[in-house]
Amino acid sequence: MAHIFADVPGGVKFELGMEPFAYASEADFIDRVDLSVPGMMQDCAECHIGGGGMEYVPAPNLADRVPLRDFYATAVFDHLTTPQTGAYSAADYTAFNYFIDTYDVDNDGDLNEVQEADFAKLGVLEMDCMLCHLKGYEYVDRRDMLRAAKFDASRAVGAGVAEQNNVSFGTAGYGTSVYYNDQVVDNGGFLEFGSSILANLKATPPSDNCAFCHFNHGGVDWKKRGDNWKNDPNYDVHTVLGCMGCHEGKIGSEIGTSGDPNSSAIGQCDPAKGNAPYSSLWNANDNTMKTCADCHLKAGWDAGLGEYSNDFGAPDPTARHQALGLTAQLCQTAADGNVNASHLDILECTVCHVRKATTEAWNTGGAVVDATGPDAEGRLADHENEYVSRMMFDGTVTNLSYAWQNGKIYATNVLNTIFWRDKEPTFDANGDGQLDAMDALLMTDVLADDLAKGWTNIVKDNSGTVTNIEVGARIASLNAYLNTKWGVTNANVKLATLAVPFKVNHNVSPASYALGHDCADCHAPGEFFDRTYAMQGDGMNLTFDSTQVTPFTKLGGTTPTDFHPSLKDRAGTSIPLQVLSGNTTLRDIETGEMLYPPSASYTGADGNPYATRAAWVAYLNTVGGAVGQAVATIASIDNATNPGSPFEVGDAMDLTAGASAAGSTYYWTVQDAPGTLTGQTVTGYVLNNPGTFQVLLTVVGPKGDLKQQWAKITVVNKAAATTVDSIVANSGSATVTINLINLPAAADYDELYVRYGDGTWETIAYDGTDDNAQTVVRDYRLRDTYLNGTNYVYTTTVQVKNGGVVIETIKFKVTIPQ
Amino acid sequence: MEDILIMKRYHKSIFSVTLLLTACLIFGLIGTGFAAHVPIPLLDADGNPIATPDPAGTVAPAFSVKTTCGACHGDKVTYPQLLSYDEIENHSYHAQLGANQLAEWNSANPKPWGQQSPGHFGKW
Ligand code: HEC
Repeated sequence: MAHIFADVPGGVKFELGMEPFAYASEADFIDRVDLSVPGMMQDCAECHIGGGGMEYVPAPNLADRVPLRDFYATAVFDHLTTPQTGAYSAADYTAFNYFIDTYDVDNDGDLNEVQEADFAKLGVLEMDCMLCHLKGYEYVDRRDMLRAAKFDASRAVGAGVAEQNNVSFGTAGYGTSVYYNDQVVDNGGFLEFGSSILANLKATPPSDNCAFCHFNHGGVDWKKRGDNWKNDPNYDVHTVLGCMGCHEGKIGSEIGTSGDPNSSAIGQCDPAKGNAPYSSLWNANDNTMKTCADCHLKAGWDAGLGEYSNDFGAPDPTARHQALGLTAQLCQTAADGNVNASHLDILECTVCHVRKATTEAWNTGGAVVDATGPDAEGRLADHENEYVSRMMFDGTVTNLSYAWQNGKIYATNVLNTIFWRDKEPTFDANGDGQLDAMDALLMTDVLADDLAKGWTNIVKDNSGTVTNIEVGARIASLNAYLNTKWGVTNANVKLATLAVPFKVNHNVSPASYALGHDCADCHAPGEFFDRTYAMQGDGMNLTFDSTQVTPFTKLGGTTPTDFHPSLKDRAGTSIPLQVLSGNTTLRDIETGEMLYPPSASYTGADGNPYATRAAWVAYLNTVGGAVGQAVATIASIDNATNPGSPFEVGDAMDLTAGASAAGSTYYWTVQDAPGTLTGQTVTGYVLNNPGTFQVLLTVVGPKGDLKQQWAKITVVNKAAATTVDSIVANSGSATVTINLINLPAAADYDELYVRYGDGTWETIAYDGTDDNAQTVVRDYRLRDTYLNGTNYVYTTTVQVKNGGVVIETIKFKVTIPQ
Repeated sequence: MEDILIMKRYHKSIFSVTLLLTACLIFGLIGTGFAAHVPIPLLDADGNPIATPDPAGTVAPAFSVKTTCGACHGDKVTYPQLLSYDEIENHSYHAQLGANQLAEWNSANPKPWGQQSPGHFGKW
C-alpha cells in the first residue's frame, strides 16, 4: 500500500493529470508504505508484463505520460502549482522513486529499509514482448532480475541472451547493463539476435509461456483456480488448441489501440477475456473470447460480426444434452415456483464439464494464502507451501464449489487470504490517514515483527497445525510492535480472511467424465447442494478463539461476512457467509451455503414452499427422482403371423416397449422402410423385405428428455409352397410349357417374375383363375452355350410377387432334348 | 486515436498453426518449415544500436524492446501493417492494470488512494 497520487481538493476529476504524492520524509515513507511502484515492479511484475504504470507515471491522456526513466528529468503534472514545479528529485519521497527493500537488493540483511529507485540506474519495465512470444523464455531468470530491481536487464536475461552484471545496487548500470552470450551475434560491429531467437519468436504465444503465470503449482494465478497445463488430453480436452485457440478472440473483432478503458475492443496483444465475477479491470472488453457455445453450438458463427471464426470442428452436444434431459424445462430462473428454464439455462457448461479428473500429485490448487508472514522466497505471503494447497480431485469427487453469476451457476475454487488487521476505531494502524476499524496492517510491519521473532508465516511455522496459542502470541507481538511504532497503547490486531470464489473455466474433461449423466450426479445428499467443501488447505488445521478474529466486512454495514461481496444469490444480492469470524476454526462449508442464503424462502418446481435453505436443499437433493424421466426398454418383438417363428417376408410384427414415466411418448422406426410409428405398443407392422434391420425405440419423457434402445431383426423369404407340377418340352422344339401348382390364393399374388436362365426374363400377370395354378409357356433360346451333352439345360427362377414384394421364389431346371 | 478495425485479428497466426500441424503430420517434423522472424538489431533505451562488446565479455547496455522491436513495429512508413509498441501498450489490460482507469476522487469513500482504479495501479 502506498499513497500514489496526491488528493485532489474539492472532488474534481483528474482531467489534466495527477500529481505524485510526496511523503514528508524517509521516516514518513517507511511508516506508511509497504508496496510502492518499484515494489510492484519487483514483486507483482513477476506475473505482469510491464508497460503501463511500470513504465510511465500514469496520466489520463496516455500520450502525456512521463516515462519513469525521465522521472528525475521531466516535470510531472502538478495540480497544486502553477506554473509547474520542476522534475522530482531524490529529495522527494514518492511512491515512484522509493521502495521498501523486502528483497534486500543491497544484500545487507535489512528488509525494512527504504531504497531509492533511480530508474536511470535500474531501468524500467517495458512491456516485455518476448515473455509471451519467445518460445523457451526463462521465466525464473526474469523473476530473479525483478527481485534484484534490475529492470532493463530482466528482458535480456529472461530472453536467455545475457547474464546479469556484477555491479552493486546504486551503481550506474546496475539494472541497465548485462553480459551478452552467444544467443546474440555481431553484425558489422553491432549486436543482433541469433538465429535461434529469431526462429523461436512465435506470432501465437506458446501455451507454455501463458502457463508461467496462469497454470501449474507455483504460478501465482494457479492458486486461484487450480488450473494445470500438462498437455494431457485426458485431463484437458482442449490442450491441442492451446490457450490462444479460445483466447484469440473472434475473427473480425475490433482491435483497439486507443487505450480508452470504455473501448470494448481488445488490444492486439491482449488475449481475449472472459468475465470474472470479482474483477472490475477494463470490464468494457470482457466477454471477447470464444465461448463454448461459439464453437460447439454456432460453428464459429458470430451474428454480430457476420463472420465464421475457426470452430476447430467442435462437436455439437445438443442431441446428447437433450437425451439427458438437460434441455428440458425443469428449472426456474427464480425459486418462485415458475418453471421456465432448462438446466443448460442456469448452469455454465464448466459446472459439469470441468472435473480436473486425475489423481496425479500435481493436480492441486490453492485453498489459503497465508499473509501472516513471508514465504520461502521472500514474498510477503505464502500461497504455495504444502499446507495451504488442496487436491482438486480425490478419485471420485471434484473439489470445487459453486456460485451464481448473472443467473447462472459457475464452478469455483474458493481462496482464503488470511491476514492481520487492526480493529481499534481510534487508531490508524497502517498510517493511511483513515481512522476506521478495518485497517489491514502494512505487510512490511508484519514482516518486521516476524523477523524480530524469527517467524515466517504462521501456517508454515507450525507445520499446518495452528491453535489459539500461536494466534494469540502473534497478536500480542503485533500489538506491542504497533504500540511502540506509533506511540499508542490501544492496538487491537485480529485475524481476518477474505474468501474469494474464483471462477473455474479451464481443464474441461472428456465428456464421459461430465456430471449430468444421471440426475443423482447432483440431486443426491452430499453431492452438488450440500457437499462438504473445505476452506483450509489439505495440510492445515487452523483453530483460534472467536475473540481473536474479525469479519472481512459487513454487508450493508450490518451483516458480517468473510466472503468477497461478489458472492451473490441468483438475483444478484450478496450472500453473507462467515467462515472464520464467529467461529473457532476456518470452517468447512456446505456447497449450498454459497448458492442460497440461509433464511430466504423458496418455492419449488413442485409448487411447494421451502422456508429455509436446509429445507430447500433437502428438496433439491431428492427432486431428481421425483421428475418423471424417459426410460427406453424394448420389452418384446413378436411375430404376429406365426407366433414364435422367425420373421418371413409378409409376416406382421408386434412391438412392445416397457413402461416409461407417465406422459412419455414412444416412437419406433423399423429400418426396412421409412416412417415412424407411435405408441408403447405397435401391432401388425408388415415386414415387406428380406434382410437384417434395426428396430429403434425412442422415448421422450414428459419433460422432453430422450432415451433410446435398439434391437436387430432378421427377415427371410417365405419358404416356397409353389411347385412345378410338370414341364412339357419336345426334342428340338424351343416351346416349353411349365405347369405351376400350389400357388398362393388369388388375393395374395398378382404376378410372376420369371428369369428363364437363357438370358431373358418376363413378368407375367396373375392368370385370373383362382385355382392356385398357373401355366407359363415360353420359347427358350436354343444356343450351343446351353448344350450339356445332348440336352439344352436352363436354370429357371420364378418369383411370386404381390404388390411388388417377392413372396416366394422357386428354382428348377428345364431340359430340352437336342 | 480511434480504435481501428482489422478484419483478420490473429487469423494469420491461427492459420499458421494449422499449417504447422499439417506440416508436422505430413513430414513428421516439429518446428520446421516455419520462416524465422527477420533479423533484429539490438537497440538500447535511447534507440542507439548496441555495439558488440570489445573486448568480448564486457558489459553492454541491456536492449530495450520498445526501441528494438519498435524500430519496425511502429515504423508506419516501412511496415504499415504492423501496430506500434505504443498502440499495443496503450490498449493492453495486461500492461495497464488499471493505470488507464484512474477514477475521480470519490468523496463518498474518502480513501485517499484505495479506490482510485480497479486494477493494481490505484488499488494499492
Ligand atoms: C527489422 C524490422 C523488425 C524488427 C526490428 C522487429 N520486427 Fe517483428 N516483425 C517484422 C515484420 C515485417 C513482421 C511481419 C512479418 C509478416 O507479415 O509475415 C513482424 C512480425 C512479428 C511477429 C508476428 C506477428 C504476426 O501476427 O505475424 C512477432 C510476434 C514479432 N514480429 C515480434 C517482434 C519482437 C518481439 C521484436 C523485438 C524483439 C520484433 N518483432 C522486432 C519486422 C520487425
